[in-house]
Amino acid sequence: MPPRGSFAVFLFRRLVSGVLLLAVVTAATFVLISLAPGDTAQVFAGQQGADPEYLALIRERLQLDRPLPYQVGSYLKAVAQGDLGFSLIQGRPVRDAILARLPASLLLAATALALSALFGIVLGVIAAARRGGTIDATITVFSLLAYSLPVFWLGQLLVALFAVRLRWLPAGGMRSADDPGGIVDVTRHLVLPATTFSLLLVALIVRVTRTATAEALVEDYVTAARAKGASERRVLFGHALPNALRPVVTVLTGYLGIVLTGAVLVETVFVWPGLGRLLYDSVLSRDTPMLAGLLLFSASLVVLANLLADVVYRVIDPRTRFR
Amino acid sequence: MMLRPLLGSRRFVVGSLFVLLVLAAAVFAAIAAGDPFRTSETILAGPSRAHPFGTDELGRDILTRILNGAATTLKVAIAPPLVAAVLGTTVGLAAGYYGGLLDEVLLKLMEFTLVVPRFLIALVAAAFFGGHLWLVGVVLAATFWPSTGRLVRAEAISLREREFVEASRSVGAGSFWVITRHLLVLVAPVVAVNTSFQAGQAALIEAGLAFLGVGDRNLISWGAMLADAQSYLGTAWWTSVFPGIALALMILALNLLGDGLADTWNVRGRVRL
Repeated sequence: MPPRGSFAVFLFRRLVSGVLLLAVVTAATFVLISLAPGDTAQVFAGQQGADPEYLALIRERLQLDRPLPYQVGSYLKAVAQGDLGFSLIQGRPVRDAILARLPASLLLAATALALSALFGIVLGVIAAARRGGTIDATITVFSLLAYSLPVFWLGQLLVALFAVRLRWLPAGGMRSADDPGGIVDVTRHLVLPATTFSLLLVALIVRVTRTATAEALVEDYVTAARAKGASERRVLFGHALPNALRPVVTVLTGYLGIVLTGAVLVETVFVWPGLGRLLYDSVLSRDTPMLAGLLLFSASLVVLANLLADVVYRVIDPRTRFR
Repeated sequence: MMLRPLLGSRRFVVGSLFVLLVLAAAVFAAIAAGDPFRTSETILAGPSRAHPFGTDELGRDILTRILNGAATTLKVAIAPPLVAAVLGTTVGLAAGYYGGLLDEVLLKLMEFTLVVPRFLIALVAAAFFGGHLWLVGVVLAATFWPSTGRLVRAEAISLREREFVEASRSVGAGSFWVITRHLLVLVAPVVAVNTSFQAGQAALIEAGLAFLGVGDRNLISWGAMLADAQSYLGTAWWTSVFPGIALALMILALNLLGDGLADTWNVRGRVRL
């Protein structure tokens, strides 16, 4: 048993409360979805679903004939055992459907997060170093502008320009029909959605980095470093930035958690075969088991990302001590 | 006075002027602009004297539709964030000032509502219960207030130990007096900044839902106009460009407004856009 107050104990406690939180969230989403007007069995049966016996079978299969608290309980129990239920519309277990779409989502999200972290931090530090000047004003205005652009509209404009007008890049999807799957092919498909996705993130990271670095630049240790003759680059990236990283990490991990959400719109515009698109399709087709599974997955990502943030704080900021 | 210096902030002035302009557009649309649903033979016509922003696939005038859509954006951008501001401030002040069990319960509640992204909640609610604007508004208010509450709570905790609170208590002020007379004024800047950023988000979420086809079908929404434009990107750029500019400028204006407030009252870094 590690000593009280150690990082392991802290993490364990956070993990337990995270799992409890997820259980409550799962129950709540399940209830919300169940309360929606309309007959789920009818939806699943589709157009030809007037046959009462078939409807009864679906109800039994989905346990729609049981009282709601029982349904919530048995769903939570199944989830705890790793069973997210079966999607009649996808024709396979919810877990399999999620896992099948996960790589595409991860590819898009990882590319967007990496691009935006790189550009966002560099631009933010430059803006802070030149604060009050023209470069700072330009970067600040650009980031505010980028933050205000609706992603779906930006996506439309990029498609109209680069895919429809110039024909440089594909308008949507992840692979071409004629030459599917090559790295070059996937990369070509990735450019527009990843750019669209990261522009919003860059904007946010620039703003946060600029504010935090500007605050760090007036601290005594920066003056001390300058007094010892450190180069301006060393002062910025060696002294000010490390102290400004905490809020940047918060934003980045925050986005890790909601990668699914932002992706719903981006993936819809670009017909990207990821989880966001799956979620949108499930909403439209009222695929309730799929939807419940995706919401649970999304909430788990948020909880995990928060946990990750705590670990990263610990690494980048030695002052951080836990209870 | 806290308000006078705001006029010196270019961002605040530009942002609020644009919001007022949109407000004027909405009022003008309600009393004087043409019928946004009137179709015509001239479908997908480019910008001209008769149709400055062109027409859509049913021959409807895009400018008229943008003017009429302003009301939808304004309603959703103003009402839910304001409700969230009142609720979040009340709860946050109480939790931060009193602490204890109340604080614990409120923290858990806030944590809970922050776990599922609000766009997802709004998307599911809109798709399953019909995307009425009031319903979207309720979901937004319900998911905005916890973040306001968390901010206010943090401010209240740092304020409650300060000397002026001690001083006020020592001359006999009760908790209610301290909270309403001292703390409320001091958390107001943070709340105002947060609320204007939320207004931008609310406009964005409403447009996003309408874009995905789960918005209020009885209303004209800039997001729904963009969804219609999706099929004509190559042939009729104006169907996408003008509603998009309107939406982007509206969100930009709200963010500028918030930025101006944050700089003037020096709360940047405490409120995150």
